[in-house]
Amino acid sequence: MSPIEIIKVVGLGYKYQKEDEGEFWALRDINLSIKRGEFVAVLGPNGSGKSTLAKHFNALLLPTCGELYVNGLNTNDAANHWLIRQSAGMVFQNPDNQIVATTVEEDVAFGPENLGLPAAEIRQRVDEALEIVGMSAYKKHAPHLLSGGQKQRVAIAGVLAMRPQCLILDEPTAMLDPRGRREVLETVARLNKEENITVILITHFMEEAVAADRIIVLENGIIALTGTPQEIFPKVKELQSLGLTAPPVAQLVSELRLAGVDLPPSILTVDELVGQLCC
Amino acid sequence: MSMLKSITIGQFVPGDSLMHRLDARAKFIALIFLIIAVFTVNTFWGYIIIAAVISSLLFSSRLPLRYFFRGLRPVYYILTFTFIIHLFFTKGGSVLLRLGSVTVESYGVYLGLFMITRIIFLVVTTSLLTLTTSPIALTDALEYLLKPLGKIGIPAHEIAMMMTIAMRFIPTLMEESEKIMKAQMARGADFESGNIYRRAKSLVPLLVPLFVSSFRRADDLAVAMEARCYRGGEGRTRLNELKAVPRDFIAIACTILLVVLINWAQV
Amino acid sequence: MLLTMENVSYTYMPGTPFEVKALQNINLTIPKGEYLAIIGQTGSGKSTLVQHLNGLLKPTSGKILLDGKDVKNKADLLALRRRVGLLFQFPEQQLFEETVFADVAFGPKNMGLNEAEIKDRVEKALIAVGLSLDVQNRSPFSLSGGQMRRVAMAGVLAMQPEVLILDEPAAGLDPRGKEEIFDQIDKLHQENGLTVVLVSHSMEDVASRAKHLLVLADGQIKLQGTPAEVFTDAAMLENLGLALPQMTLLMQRLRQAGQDVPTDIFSVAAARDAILRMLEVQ
Repeated sequence: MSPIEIIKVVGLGYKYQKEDEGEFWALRDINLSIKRGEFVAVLGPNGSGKSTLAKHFNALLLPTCGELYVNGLNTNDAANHWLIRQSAGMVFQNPDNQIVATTVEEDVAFGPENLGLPAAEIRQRVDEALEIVGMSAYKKHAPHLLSGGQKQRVAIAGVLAMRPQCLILDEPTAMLDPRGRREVLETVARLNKEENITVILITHFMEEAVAADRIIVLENGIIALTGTPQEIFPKVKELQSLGLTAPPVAQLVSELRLAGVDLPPSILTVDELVGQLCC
Repeated sequence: MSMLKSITIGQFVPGDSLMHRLDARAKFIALIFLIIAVFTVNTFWGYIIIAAVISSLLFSSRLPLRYFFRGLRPVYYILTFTFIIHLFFTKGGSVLLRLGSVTVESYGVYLGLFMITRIIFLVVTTSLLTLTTSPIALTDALEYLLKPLGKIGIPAHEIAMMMTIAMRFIPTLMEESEKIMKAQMARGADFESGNIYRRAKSLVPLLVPLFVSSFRRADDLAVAMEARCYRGGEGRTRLNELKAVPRDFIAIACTILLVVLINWAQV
Repeated sequence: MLLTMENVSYTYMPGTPFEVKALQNINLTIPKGEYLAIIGQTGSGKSTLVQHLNGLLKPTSGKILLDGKDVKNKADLLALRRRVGLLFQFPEQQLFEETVFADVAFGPKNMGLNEAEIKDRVEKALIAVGLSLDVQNRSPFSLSGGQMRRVAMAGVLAMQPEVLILDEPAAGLDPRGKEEIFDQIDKLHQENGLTVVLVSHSMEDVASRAKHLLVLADGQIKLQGTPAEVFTDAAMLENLGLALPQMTLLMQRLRQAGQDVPTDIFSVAAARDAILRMLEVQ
């Protein structure tokens, strides 16, 4: 494994017992390599296996076959789990169900406390993490009084306090309103750019993937498409058949091109399109 | 915003009084000795001494007194019941009132008053602890004090963690139950009328969804905790460590002294 | 007028330090056959408003009128609740019965209908939300999230309300599920003549569907009218943190750039036609 790779997935498959339908392969033959500092968006409709894959990055699930390496450590070896969970932190969908403590700062401290760090070091990390996500003013607040977006930022801070190299977010915006969603996405993008943290964002909304370096589309447990947003978004029909909706501007550009208008296919924003149409 | 959030009996009120600053463990131990004192006292003067001690503690917390008496509301029935039982069934002393074969005798009145005073002392001192101590400090103290019992199989860390999680999720579940209740009311459910049996039955549409969601939350939380490297109390450190200073030991010593004094005076 | 709100204000926990003015002087009329979308951020008072429309909350001041008649006593309130169905956000969380049938039948049973009528209504409701009747005897908890949401919706439809209020019906669904649920609602509106009130924080989702929009912020109505009317005040919407639908924004930008395009455009198809026309003229 080369030092620029942080995650490597080799021939991964995952099978589980479905209640009345017998064995079910949630993931099949996944091969993947993620570079340090990369921002990868994993897209797919419900049931495509994207959350199952996310849980593998953090060793919460283990492959039925194949291997997954985080920082060169194989998740199949239970002795590695501790280190893997420190370096690949995870944020979940439901903001309520991942906050453990009765105040914001105590919750952010939960991870470092589990690592057995001295109190002064925990304090420093908690303050720093809350600063990064912009929640310092809410240190002593009770979590249930925060908005959804704020709760998710606290959850992100809780992971940051463990100083991970990689952040995995499993549909972190699915239960949020537009404002909360923006808060979370801006925070994640900043962490990627400024703190150079590798980001794996799992979502079913294409517009959240615009800022990603690379998009991976899952369908029925296999990788159906992969490429940059500029490569993926113009494939409007293909995405639709996979149960995903391209951002409206990409849809429009594709329709206009079909109608014979001469436009580059990679346009993703309103401003780009206005620029093309008016000049 | 929900009505249920306004329930605040015994809830921590931040402050900077001597009572607030005492170490939670010291408060816990002192509370235990105070309770022992309350349960061993049986003379009039003993009660006066304890009343004086407790009221000075209440004042030193610098909290409005009504906060403490709010805690008594749920035990009104117990107080009344206790008093009536003693009034009619404890015999001794002079007969104060005779209604046919039923008598009220002076010792009954005396004992009834003592008993409800004890209960009031008990509730008020316990509220003093919960009103002046943050839930986190409280559970940390409990964990610390229970730790020696680990040898006989009492899981101190797990108990404390369970308490923390319970306190974290009570408001969330309250909000959720209000929401579910409204959703069922929109489908014509009636939570307010009918006899006890009908009312109990009408709770099913509220309780089943609440249980289902609590189990889901528990599952999610367990996974989230594991993802954050949780593996029990072993090797865990704390952000805010409890630190005992001389005044904490003095507080405990004072309560021990109180117990000794009261028992000595009664011998 | 089917439903009217007259000068309605609502205050949570009046007289305490927690007092919140959730609604202030709301005037609103909902005629029969309306398709209204109420848009606002979390905390704008949307949920409080719709809870008034079916009598779960009583105004602190002001009146709710049903068919022009003041809703005053308990009987009026029950009538209101029957005629106005309310589906909360994440409604799958309210399922509780052992079978889908029993759960959908909960509302009709509370109305005191007879067995045959209940059975008929349950079946009609399940079909209306696009579920097959085979699911009737299954446990609702064995279904997928999207199916559970449909069962919950059927539970409200089985009461055969005249008005259906839906609070964020597509929250948490993937794009396909979202599309499906909105199409279902459109169908109920068009084919069954149901009066619909959608509550949403996304203009994108509702602009091309609703006939009228109502923008709420800080418990007050800020804008009201057809989507085209509401979207002309882009500055106000931006101030309230509400984004214009992408296609509407595009048209407004093109207009600013000197192009002659209509601005009452909310869907990709409409935008394509408008741009093709614009290019033709050039």
